[in-house]
This record gives sequence, C-alpha cells and structure tokens, in this order.
Amino acid sequence: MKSIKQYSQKFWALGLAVVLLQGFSSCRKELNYTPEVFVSAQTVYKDEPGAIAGVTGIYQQLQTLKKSDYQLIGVIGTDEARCTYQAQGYGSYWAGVVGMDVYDITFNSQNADVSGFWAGCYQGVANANAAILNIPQIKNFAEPAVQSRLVGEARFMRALFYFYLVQLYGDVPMPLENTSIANGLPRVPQQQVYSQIEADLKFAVANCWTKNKLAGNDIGRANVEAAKALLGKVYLTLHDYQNAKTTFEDLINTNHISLMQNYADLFDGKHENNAESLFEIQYSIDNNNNTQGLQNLYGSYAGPPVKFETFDQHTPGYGGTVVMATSYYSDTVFAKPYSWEYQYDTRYAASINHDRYDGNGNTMSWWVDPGLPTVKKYDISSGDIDVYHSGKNLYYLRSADVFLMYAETLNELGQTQEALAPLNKIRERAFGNNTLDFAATDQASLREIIMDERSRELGAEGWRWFDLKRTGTLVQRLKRYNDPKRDFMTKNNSTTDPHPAQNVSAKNNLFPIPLTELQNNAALGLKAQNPGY
Amino acid sequence: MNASAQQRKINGAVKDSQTGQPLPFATVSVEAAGKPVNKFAADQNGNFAVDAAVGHVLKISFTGYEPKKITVGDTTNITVLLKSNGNLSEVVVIAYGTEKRKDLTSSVTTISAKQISEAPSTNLATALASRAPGLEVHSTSTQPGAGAAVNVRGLNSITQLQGPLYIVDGVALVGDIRNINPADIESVEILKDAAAAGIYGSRAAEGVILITTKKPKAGATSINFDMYAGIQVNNPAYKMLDARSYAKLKRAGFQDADPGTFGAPGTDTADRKMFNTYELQSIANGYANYDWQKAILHNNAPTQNYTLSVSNGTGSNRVYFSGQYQNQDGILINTGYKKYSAHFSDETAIRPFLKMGASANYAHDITHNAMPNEYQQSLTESPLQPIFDAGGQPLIVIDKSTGTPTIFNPATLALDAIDLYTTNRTNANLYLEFTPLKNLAFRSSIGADIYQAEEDKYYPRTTGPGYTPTNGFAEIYNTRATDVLWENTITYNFLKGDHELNLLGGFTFEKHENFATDMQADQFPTDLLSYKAIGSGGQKLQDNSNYDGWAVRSLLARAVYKYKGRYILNATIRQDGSSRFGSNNKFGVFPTVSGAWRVIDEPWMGFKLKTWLNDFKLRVSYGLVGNQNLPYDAIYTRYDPASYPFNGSSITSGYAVAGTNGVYGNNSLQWEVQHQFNAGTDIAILNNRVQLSVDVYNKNISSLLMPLPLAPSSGFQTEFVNVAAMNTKGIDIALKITPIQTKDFTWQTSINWSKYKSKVTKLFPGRDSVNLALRVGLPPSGTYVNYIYDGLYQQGDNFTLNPNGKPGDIKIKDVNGDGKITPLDEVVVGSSIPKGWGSFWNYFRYKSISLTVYSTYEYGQQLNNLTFTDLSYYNSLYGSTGNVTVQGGNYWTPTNTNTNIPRPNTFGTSLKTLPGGVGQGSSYSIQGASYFKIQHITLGYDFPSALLDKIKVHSLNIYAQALNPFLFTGYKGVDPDIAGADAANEIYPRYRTFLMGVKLGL
Repeated sequence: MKSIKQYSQKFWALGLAVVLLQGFSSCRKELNYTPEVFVSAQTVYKDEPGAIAGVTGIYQQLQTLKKSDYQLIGVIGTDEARCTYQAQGYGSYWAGVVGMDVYDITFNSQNADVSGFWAGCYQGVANANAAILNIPQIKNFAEPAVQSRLVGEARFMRALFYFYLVQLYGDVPMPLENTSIANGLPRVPQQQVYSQIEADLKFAVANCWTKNKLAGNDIGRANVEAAKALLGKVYLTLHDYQNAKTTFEDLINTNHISLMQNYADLFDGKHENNAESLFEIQYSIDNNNNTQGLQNLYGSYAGPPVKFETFDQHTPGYGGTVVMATSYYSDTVFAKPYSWEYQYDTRYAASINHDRYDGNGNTMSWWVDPGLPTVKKYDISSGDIDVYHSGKNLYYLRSADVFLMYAETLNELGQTQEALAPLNKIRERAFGNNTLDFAATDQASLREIIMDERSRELGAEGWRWFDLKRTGTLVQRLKRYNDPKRDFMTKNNSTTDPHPAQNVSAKNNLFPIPLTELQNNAALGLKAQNPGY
Repeated sequence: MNASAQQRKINGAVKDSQTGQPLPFATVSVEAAGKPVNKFAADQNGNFAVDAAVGHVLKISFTGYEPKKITVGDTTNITVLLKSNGNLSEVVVIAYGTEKRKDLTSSVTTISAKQISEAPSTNLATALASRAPGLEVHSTSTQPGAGAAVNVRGLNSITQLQGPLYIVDGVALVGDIRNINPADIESVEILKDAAAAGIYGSRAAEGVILITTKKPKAGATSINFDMYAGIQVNNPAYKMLDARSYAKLKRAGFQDADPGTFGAPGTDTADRKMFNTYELQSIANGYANYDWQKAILHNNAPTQNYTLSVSNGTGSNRVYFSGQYQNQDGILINTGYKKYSAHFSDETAIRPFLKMGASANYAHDITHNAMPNEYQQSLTESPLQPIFDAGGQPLIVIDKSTGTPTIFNPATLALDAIDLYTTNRTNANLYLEFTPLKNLAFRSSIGADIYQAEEDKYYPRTTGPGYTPTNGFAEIYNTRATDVLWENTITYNFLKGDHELNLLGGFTFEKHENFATDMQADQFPTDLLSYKAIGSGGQKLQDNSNYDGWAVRSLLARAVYKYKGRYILNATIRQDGSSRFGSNNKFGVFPTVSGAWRVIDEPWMGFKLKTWLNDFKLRVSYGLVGNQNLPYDAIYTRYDPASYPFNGSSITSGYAVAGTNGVYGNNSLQWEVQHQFNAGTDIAILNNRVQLSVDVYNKNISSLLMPLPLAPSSGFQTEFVNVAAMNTKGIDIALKITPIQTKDFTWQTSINWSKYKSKVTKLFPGRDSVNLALRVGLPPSGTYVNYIYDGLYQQGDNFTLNPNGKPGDIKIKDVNGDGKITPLDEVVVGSSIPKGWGSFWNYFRYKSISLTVYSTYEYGQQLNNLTFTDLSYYNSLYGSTGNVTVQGGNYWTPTNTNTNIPRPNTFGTSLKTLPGGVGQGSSYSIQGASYFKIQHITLGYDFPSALLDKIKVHSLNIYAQALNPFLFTGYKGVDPDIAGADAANEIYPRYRTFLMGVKLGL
C-alpha cells in the first residue's frame, strides 16, 4: 500500500505539472507584441479620415519648413533684405545664416540652413509620396471626389517642394512614390525634374477643387488657381513664355482672380485666406506647434517704430535684429522717403518700418544696424501672443504675383504694350488711381521696371532670390544694390561689415549640395557637388 | 619509540567540523619520525583505511581547511574533524542555483554584506563601486539620490548600452536598484563571463548582477539595529573672482571688443554702458562683494539613517523582516533625499518534501532635485550684483528697454522652484520547492517588480524658466512599470563513485510593461498652488502618454560534470524568444561551455607544497550571449501626430512620417551577438594570507546596431542595421593580502585592478568611419576629436590661419600644413577610457579598534572639461560673460603673456573663421582626469564580548567615518569620477561627510 506521503507527493507533483503546462502554452502568444503607441503607413492610409490625416502631414512639413529661419532662404542674399551686423555675433549657427546672405566661406556644404532646407523639402516629398502611393489604393473611399482631390493636393505639394529643390540646388535626386531608396538616388537632370513638376501640377489642375468650392475647414488647401499660378511660374522660370502666357491667360480669364482693394489689408493678419490669396501657408496660435516666430527675425530691439510706444515682445516691430531691409528696398526702389511719390504708395507703409524712436520721441540712429529700416510685413497683429508665437499666415502665391508674371511674360514675348495692362493693375491698387501708371517703353527698360515693381509689391515675401536667378541678374543686382559701403558703412567707419557684393559670383546661382547627402547617398560622392563649392 | 612497531589498519572518516559533511578525496599522509612514508586519498565519502603503526603521525588535509596531525594511538577508528579556514567551502549564488566556490568554472565575484555596508550610500549601485574587478560604477552627480551608471567588463555595445541585468531574489529589476537597503543584503554576485551569465541569454551581454537578501540563519534569532548620523561639509571645486577683479575683467573685455564706445576703462561713461545700476552702486561702495555660492548653500547639512532588522530561524517557519529610514539633506538648499523602506522574507517547510517561501521589499523615496543651472548660475553671477533686495527677497533686475530680466537670480530657483521626484517600488517574490526524491528538485518562482515614479515640477514667475511670458510652469510626469518574471527549473544530481553530474533544465517567462503620462502647463494666475492645481494653468503645453511593453520566453539547460572532484566541465544553453526582435528573427540560441581544473587537489601535489599553497585552480570558458535592447523605433517606421490649421485657425490633426524621429524601420533587426572567451586562475598561498584571482577575457561583439545615416533625399535620417563589430579584451585582477596577522594586530589589504581595450573592428560595409570619433580602430565611444590648441597668439604673430584674430586669442594648429584651418585638421585629442582602474582597500585592527580606508583610482583617461573652460574664458560665444574662476582672472594682456587664458573677448568675432564656427572648441578644454579618491576612512570600536555578555548583547560596534575626505587629481572640476563629468554644466557641488554610527546586534 502506498504511504500517505507518496500519495501526497503525487498530488503535489500533478498539481505543479498542470500549472506549468498551462503557463507554458499561454506565453507563446505574448511574443508577438507590437507596441500600441505606434502608427505606421498601413494603419494610417486605410480609409478617408486616414487619407485626410496623412495629407495633413504634408502641409505640416511645409509649415515647419517656413516658420523658422529657413524662411529667410529667398529673402536674404538679395537686393531686398540682408543680415544685420549684429547677426554674425549671435553664435556659430547664425554665422551660417549670415553666410547665406553674404556668400562667404560659411556658405558651404555643411551650412546648417542649406542642409536643413534640403532635408526639410525631402521630408515633405516623402510624406507626399506616401500619400500619392497609398490613397489611390484605398478601397471603398467614402467620397471619390475627395479621393482624387487629396491626390491632387499631394501632387501639388510635391511639385512645390521639388520646385524649391531644383531652383536652389540644380540637378537633384528625385524619389517618387515608387522609387526604392536601397541603392541611393542619383542626381536627376533639371529638365527631368521640371517635367515631373509640370506633370504633377497638371494633375493638380485637373483634380484639385477651385477656391470657391473649398469651404469651411478645407479653406487653405491646394486649389486649381494656385496650381495654375505655380505652373505658370514654372514655365516662366524655364523661359517657356508661350506656355506661360497660355496658363496665365487661362487663370486670369476663367478663374477670376482679383486684388484686394487695400494693400495694407494683406498684411494686417485679419484677412487671412482673402480673395487675392491663392495659396497661403497657414499658422495659428491655437496650437503651440503651429505658430511662427518670424517677427523675431525681422524686428529690431533698437526702439519702437512708432513714437512713444511701449516696446517689448508683444509689440510689432520688436525683434532680434537679424534681418533688415537693404537701402535699395527701403530708400531707392520706393523713391526717396517723404518725396511726393512715396507719400502716395500705400505699399510703403505696409512694407517698411523706416525709423525707430528712442524714449524721448527722437529718431534713433543707434550705433551700427538696429536703428535702420526693417521689413514690416511680418509684424505681429493684435491677435498674436508675442514675437515668437504668431498665427499670421505667409503668402506663397497671390494674384499680384500672377499679374506681374503675366506682364513679364508678355514683355519677354516682345508685347511691351500689352504688358502694361497687368502691370498697371498693380500700380492702381497701390496708389488708388492711375496717375502713376507706367507708359509704353522699350523691352529692356520695362524689364527693369518690372523687377523693381516686384520688389515694391512682393518685397521680402520669399521670391526675390528666385526672381534674380530666373532673370540672370543675381550677381549684377547684388553688386549694384547690396554694397552698403556706399551708404551706411562709410558713415560708421566700419569696413569689416560683411556684405554679398564682396563675395557673390556666378557659382552662387546654385546652393551647395549638403555634405550629408554626398556622404550618405550611395549614388553620389564628394565629386557630385555643384561647381565652385 | 619502538621502530619496529606493528603496522595496523587505521580506519577513519574525514568530516567538516561545522556541518559534519564528509570531505571527499581528502589527503591522508602517514609520517614516521617526521618523514613522509605513505600517502593515501580518502574516498568520495571521506572514508579512508591506511596502514600505520602506533606512533606514526597521520597528516590529514583538505583544501580550504586547516590540516590536522593525529598521532596513531590505540584506536583504529578515527573520525577527523577539519575546520574550514577560508572561503573555499563557501557557497556562491550563481544563475539558477548555488555552487561551491571551489567548483566554479566561470568568472564570478562575490561582494559580501560586510563590504556593502561598510559605508553609507543612497544607491546600492554606488556601494558596489570597484568592489569587483571589471565592475565600473559612476554616480551621475553628487546630488543626494543621484543615479549611477554601471558597466561590467568594458564596452559592450556601440549604441545600445543599458547596463547589466539585475536579479534580486527572483525578481528582475530593470533600471536602477536604489530601492534595496544595503543592510538587507547577504551578498552580491557579479557574473562576468559568458559561462556565468550566458544562461541569461539575450539579456546577458552586459553582465548579470545577482543580489541575495539576508535569510534567517537556521536555529538562531537575532535583532540588529544600525544607525548613523553626520554632517556634510562643502568642499568647493571652484573659486570665482571677487568684485574688484571681476570689474577689471569685464572692462577689459568690453574695451577690447569696441574701444571706440567703451573708451578708457574705469571711466563713468564706459562703466554705465557695461554695468547695471546695482553694480554701479556696488562699485561706488568700494567694490562690495556678494557671494552667490553661499546664497544657495546649506553647509553642514545633516544626514542620517536607521535600520532595524529582526531574524528568527528557529522552527520550521523562518522569518526575516527589517525597516529603514534614511534622510540626507542636500548641501544646496531645498535639496535632499529621503527614503522609507521595509523588507520581509519568510520560508516555510510545509511538508518534508515541499518548501515555500516569499519575500517582499517596499521602498518609498523622495528626492528634492537641484534646479537646472542653479549651481552653474551661482558660479557665474556678477559678484557686484546684490542677491537680495532691502526686503530680503531675491532681487530680479529688469532691463527697462526690453522689459525682460537681465538677471535670473539662482536664489529664486533654489528657494521657490520645486522639482520633486517620488518613487514607490514594490518587489515581491513567491517560490515553491518540491523535492520528491533526494536528488530531484522542482522549483517555481514568480517575482514581480511594481515601480511607480512621479516627477513634479513648478517654476514660479520669479524664476528664469517661469518668468513672463511663461507665467509659471508646471509639469507632472508619471510613470508606472511592471515586470513579472516566472522561472521554473528542475534539477537532478547524480553521484556515483568518482563521477558527479548536476543537471538543470528550465523554462522562464518575463513580461515588462511601462506606461508614462506627462502633463505640462503654463500661464498660471498665481504661484500659490504650484503643480498641484495644474488645471488652473491657462495654457496646456502637453498632455501626452507613452506605452511600451515586451515579453521574453526562454528555455534553458545546464549540465555540470565533476570527475574526482577536481575536473569540472560545465555547459549551458538557452533559447530566447523575444518580442523585441524583428519579426524575421524572433528566436536566438546562446550556448556556453567552460571547464575548471583544481590543480591543488591533484594527488601529485606534494604535502609540503600544500603547506604554503592553499589553492590553485585554472578555469577557461567560452560562450555566446546577446543584447536584446533594440529600440522599437528601429523596427517600425513610425508616423507621428501632426496638425495643420486649415482656414487659418481650425486645427486639423493628422499624421506625418519622418518628422523629428526620422528613423526608417528595419524588421530584420536581430539582437547584438557577443562571443566571450575567459581564462582565469585562483591562487591562494601562505594559509590564505595571499589570495589572487586573475581573469583575462576577449569579447568579439558583432551584429552591432548602428544608425546608418541615410541620405536626406530619402526623407529619413537613419536606419538601424546590424552591421558593426567590435572587440573588447581585458584583464581583471583581484589581490587580497594579509601582511600582518598577530593576536592583537591585523592588517589586510585588497587591491583590484582592471584594464580593458575596446576597439571597433567593422562599421558599415565599405565605410571605415562614421565621423572622426567613431571609426575602425578606435573605441566605440569616449574618443574626443577636435582641433589642437596650439597656445595663444602673441603680438607680432602671423595671423594667416585666423585673419580676424588678435594677440591673446586661441591659436589652432594647422595639422596638415595646408595653410588653412579645415575639418581635416581635426585629430584624436583624448579618450575617456582609462588605462587602468580599480580599488585599494586597507583594514587595520588593533585589539578591538579597527581602521578601514577604502579608495578607488582610475588613470590614463581624459575628459572634455567644457565647464571649466566656460568658467574661465570670458567670451560671449566660446565661454560665458559671467564671472570667471580665479584661474580665469589670469588672462592674457600684452604685459601678461605667460598664461593659457585667452584675452577677454566680448563679441568673439575673432573666432568666426573657424570651420565649425565660434562654438567649435578645441583640445583646449581636454584635461587629464586621472584620480586617486579616498572614498571613506572609518574608525571603529567593537565592544568586547565579555562586557556584552553581561548585558545579553551579541555585538556592539561604534564608528566614526569620513566620506570623500580626499581626492587627488589634476582635473579641475567637481569630481572626475562622476559619469558625464564633462557635461557643459555642473549640477551639484562637492562635499565631505563626517558621521558617527552604531551597529547593535542582539
């Protein structure tokens, strides 16, 4: 007979075995544990809300790209705006920003802004590619019209990013939605990039909605008018004036674009997404991540631009004294301040803060730059939090640009008389009447006039560098208009203030390719750099 | 003596005097008239039968025991009881079981309870510092409650270092081990090589630390009370300039930058442009001096600790419990560490064949952290600036034109700001041991670690981070982690004749989850309610959560074969399936093999030899372990939340890829692989008065995770791939000597010395380097690469390398001689990996008085002392424009050229032409960091037992102790021992602690 002990042992042994086996089998499934805070491409692009969410991400990439000092690309290093003397002393990072302005040795492949802008554009491209690839594959999309519109928006955005890349850097790698990154991406010739941009914009024209169809929370999305305007600009850049003319005429005649009556309304922060605006980059103070801090770059800490005004980071005009207007922009292209012509150009007051005042109401002439004219277009409005957190939108394309481009196109085609009509539309809005309209003149003079008018109308909005490159006048205009020695430096006896006229040369029509790209792209190497860098 | 006495058979047994266990294969030697006649070995049961005559002497010896001589008399049956004389019979805790130290084939170092509780610590990890060769521990700062960085045997990875695996009584602890009371610990075993740690498979690449808490001794009860109390005295590392010298420096700096405006130094107009109204007042008062360091210092801060433990081992239910209260006030005001903890363990034999046990540990601690930059700011504030206003409140200076403060008073941070870190940690373990047969045992144990930590911050509007427009900032960060470990093992021991076989098989499962939430808000209407009313913050900055979890299931087996007690062969194997591996690579197998030869037990080792050679063993091991710390980001391409305000204000939320994360997922990722070879020897001579343990190891680590930088045109920044390989080899030596041992006086000394060399052997295919600091041939981390500092420019020097430079500026060496300074001139300027490190422990005892001096050392390493550079070089870009150290007051001037401090330079324009720009730096800030640090000096007195018996007390020891009394180093900073000592900001000052304590045992 078995003893109690033996029975007892068997009981316990059996009990343990059962428990162990149970545990053993249940553990296996725990190994396929995906962390639940992760969202991947498969989980995003599954239905209509997901597609909208993914496309929202593309817009955010553009917003991020333009809300900081990357916005200066296209603005500084031109005849319109420049970095201040102080900026070079703010630290090594800012020395690189100044380098983009003066084209000196810090304007190289390791320049933080040059590299950052490149990376930022490609992040936008990656998001756009994901949308273009995945959205058409979504089955049972709730509203098919929205599905094609979203793809149109994504292709517009991709064209926008590539347009920046090809103009700044020349031949660039061009990953599309089906491209594999495994073996590196070669630099694609500019012509091919432009063809892709053209194709993307044509798709956008065909599939996006028009401005008046976008309502409510869809206002601000890429639309047909913006796509046509950008397509026209691309043709203009390629000097394909015939196609540019057709596109602009189509846009002006069928889509009824218009100008705001009051120029200052464009920049007061209270007329966002107005009738003149074709595509804006949206910002808002409702979310800390969606604000922009541009007044800090364009403002100055010298003193208030209005006499006897309190002056701190909550007031317009206050800032870090990084960028200022060139004397060309503040005192030449607009004609002399206080001249009778200046008094009537409503654009001046909205574009430039000319004087700064000290505590006693006297005009300030502080040592070196802070007391000099600054750009006013980025001043915060009453609805903003402070200079670092503004909800003011930025213009990418507006109707005034279209009219000026149309005038330029006609002028280049030799139609100098017809070119006056769109040009004078701008003048009439600026002066309120036609007394200062331009009269007929020859093609070369009209070219100069149009370039100057673009400064007066679209100054510091981010297109100048691209305009100068397109017209082949970058080096010439910088040497002529961005040589501060002639004006302020002689006054202050400071000859070491760096300025572009010293350094700029033909090679600066292209930016250097970032070093990180050359080092890590298997299809490129250090030899694939743009000439001269 | 009758020489022709009869030979008889003498039978006997050799046993351990304490436990009564037989000592197998003991040596029995027969001597006649002092000369050895014959030699026999006892059998595996310790029994022997020898021929000897009356008057012969039997010498019986066994390794680890004191040999005994027995004269043969009339009895033919002798039982010999040998007394253990050292640590060879001791039992060592190893992975999933225990082993006698003499039978170990792997590299395991035991740190005893006595060593751990020799000096107080707030973190168990720091108590282990350098107690085992190969174990590197550095505190992260001198702040009470600071964490520690722990490293076993050099560098084990390039990117995925996480520290060793800690197992405490069957509970796996992830992260720090601060919650354990050192007084509750019986021993800590460091499993260093592949054979010791390999049975933990993919968790073992950085070593395994097993912590065993005290268990009640069989048949005994005891009550112990330990306490200490003392003060901490400031030991300043930086001496800053006084008011007058500071004013002189600032004037020189501004005048140099712009002589036109700031004109002749010391004039009113120039001064008014440089100093604010308060400073001008102080200058007018004859350079009134304000001591900022003193304003935030709480000198002579008290520290105390009390532990009470009770242990009852009588009866079939054995219980141990203890409680602790520890309170260390910080030497900066409003900082400190407080801990309450309790420990409980119980073991019951509910049946003769069934034993159950449980243990639980609960710790609750509160750390008041020093504020960011508080200490650093107190060093750099102008000594002319008053700290408090007339009302005794910290003074804040507002710049009238901008409306923002120019001085953020660090005293406001220290007094008003809150940074509170509270943790609650419970470890619990329950186990069952079932022994149906004598040699067969099942063990099942479940351990859980439940960890909750909360960090609460509040910066009021008087402080820098909380000033307008922030208007008060609050953060509540909560994290909760659970780790459950279920281990099941079956062991079988088989003994026959000369052969012994120990088999182990097991199955374990571990699941870990953590969940964190973070709330941040600012714009508070009032500072009164602080973070506790975070809802009243006008602006929500963040409402975020994060979840992470993983599971590992493993099968393991071990076989140990011992032949004749002196040839030991050990093999282990483990299979891990982990949710942290990429989906294509879910399982890994990790085998190890090791062997040991107890040379001392060989019969041909003469008896004479054995009188002075007490132990000699050779060990060798080889195995494969892994590192499963792969970041989730590396496997999945992540989409992050994005938002965009269409229509100018209404936020539409969405997702974006490749944002700040920028990592492209790789689902073929696998664990990092480590092959480790270890050879070692343990030698003891002269009655164990000299004990030496030497281990050499070679680790080939491959499949290392590297973030492959992707071209930005891909849209992503990196992708993790298993491509790299590295090699670490080193040597660990532990030497313990007892030079003097007399009745009244003992001197023991113990030296640990370790050294390792790590180098990368492979990076990316086709690429030998990632950047100048990370490349093949160099260690994977710790290399400093920069320009070489070539002295200062003097008057009349050639300025081609730096056209904007002036005399007194830093000169950079043109290494490649091309006439300009480019990134090609950057070279390796130093390494933070030491050429050797270890500890030096000395113990002196005269009758009842003992003196212990424990010191640690490290030599041959450098650190990038940016802090000291910032604090000495007056420059708005390279350093700071605040106060500088006394050394910084010796700056270059045309009349003072024999110095290394550059001229004060307010705008730094002369550094602009350096390729990396003005913040580039150079080898200027690299300093040698070798040190010899006396960790503690303890003087103790043990009350004599004669006296104690009268009052029924078992033991009473009182002691006086000094912690960190002396630091010998050339490094100019707080402490080169602190991990990250080259961070750009010092967090906490340096201090010495003096305390007295009592250890009472009843």
